[in-house]
Amino acid sequence: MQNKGSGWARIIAAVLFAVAALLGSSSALAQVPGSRLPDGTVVPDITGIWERIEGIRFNPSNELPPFNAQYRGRYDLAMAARSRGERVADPTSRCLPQGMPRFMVASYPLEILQTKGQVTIIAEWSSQVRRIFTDGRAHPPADEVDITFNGDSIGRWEGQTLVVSTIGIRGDTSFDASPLTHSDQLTVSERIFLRNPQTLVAEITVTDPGAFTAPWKVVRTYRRGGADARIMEYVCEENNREIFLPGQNEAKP
Amino acid sequence: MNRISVPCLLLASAALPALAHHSFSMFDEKKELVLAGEVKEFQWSNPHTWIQLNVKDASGKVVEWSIEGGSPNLVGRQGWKRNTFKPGDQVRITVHPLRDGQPGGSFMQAVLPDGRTLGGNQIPAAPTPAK
Repeated sequence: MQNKGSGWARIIAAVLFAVAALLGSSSALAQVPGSRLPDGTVVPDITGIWERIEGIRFNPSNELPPFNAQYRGRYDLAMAARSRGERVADPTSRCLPQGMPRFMVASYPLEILQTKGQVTIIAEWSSQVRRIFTDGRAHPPADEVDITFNGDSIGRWEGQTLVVSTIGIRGDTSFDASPLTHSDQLTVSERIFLRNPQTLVAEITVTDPGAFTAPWKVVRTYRRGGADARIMEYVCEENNREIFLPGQNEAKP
Repeated sequence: MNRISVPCLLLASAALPALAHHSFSMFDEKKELVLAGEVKEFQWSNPHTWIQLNVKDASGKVVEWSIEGGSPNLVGRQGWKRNTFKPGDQVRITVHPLRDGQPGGSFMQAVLPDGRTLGGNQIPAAPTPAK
C-alpha cells in the first residue's frame, strides 16, 4: 500500500509538472505566430521580409522634432555647413551601425523572426540585428544597462500589437542621413502591428529630455516582401572608399 | 573616341543617389561630364559599386577614373548584375565629377557596348533580340 501510494503521488506530481510546463509554454514563452496568449490573443504573424514604404528620412513628413534650443542650434549649424558644401558627420559613412532609431527607417528591407520568447529584427543594411525579448524579463537597471547602438529592447503583445520599450541607446546614433542629433537620454517606445496582412505599421515614439521638449512620434509603414523578396548580404567594410578620420573635413554638429 | 567631352553645365536636376551611404557633397551636381573609355574593373561591392574606367585625356595620356555607383543592394534590385560592366568594355559614362578635380565622379548613366542605356536608378531596357 505504502509503495503504491507513493507511486500515485509521483505520477500526480509528474502530471502537475507537465501541465505547468504546458501552461508556461503556451503563455509567456510561446509567442510564435498563431500561439494563444493567456488572455485569448492569437499572436499575429509578422514573420517575414518587410520593405520600407516611405522615404529614407526618419520622419516621412520631414517635420523636425520638438528640439530644445541647444539641439535646434546644433541642427541649424550643421545644415548651414552642409549648404556650404561641407561634409557633415554621419557615423554610417565610417560603417558604424545605424543603431536605434535609424534601424527602423530600413535603408534596405527588414526581416522579422518570431521565436520562443524573442522577436528578432534583421536589417539588411550592414546586417544589423535587434533582439526584442518577449519572455517577460525587465530591462536591466538604468545605471547598469550596457549602452549600445540598438539598446536593450523588451516587448509584450497587447492584443494584436507588439509593444516595445528600448533603453540604453548610445548618444551618437542617428535618425537618418540628415544632421538630426539626440542626447544620451534617448529612449524609444514602439507599437508594432499589422494594418492588414500585407502592411506592417511601427508607431515610434522617441523621448529625449536632453534634446526634445516633448515626445516625438513618427509612424513608419512597411509592405510585406513578395515571393522573390530576399535579404542580401551587406558588409559595409568590404570596400568603403569614403573613409576619413572623425572630424576630418566634417562640420561638427 | 576615347576623349573626355567638354564638361557641360546643366541645371541641377539629378537628385542625390537614393540610399547614398555617405554625403555626396564632394561631387559637383551642377556639372555633368561624359567619359568615353575602357572598363578596367567593376567592383560589385558594398557600400558602393565602383567602375574603374581608363580614359585618354586630350594629350593622349590614359587616366584611370573612379566612378561611384549605388550599392549592389540598390542597383541589383534595379536590374544591374555583377557582370553588367566587364573589363575591356568600351562604354560612355556620364558622371557628376569630383569638385576637387581628381579623376572621379558619381555615376549618372552609361551607354553599354550593346547600345543600351543604363541609369543609376532604373532597369536597363531589354536588349534587342539577336537576329
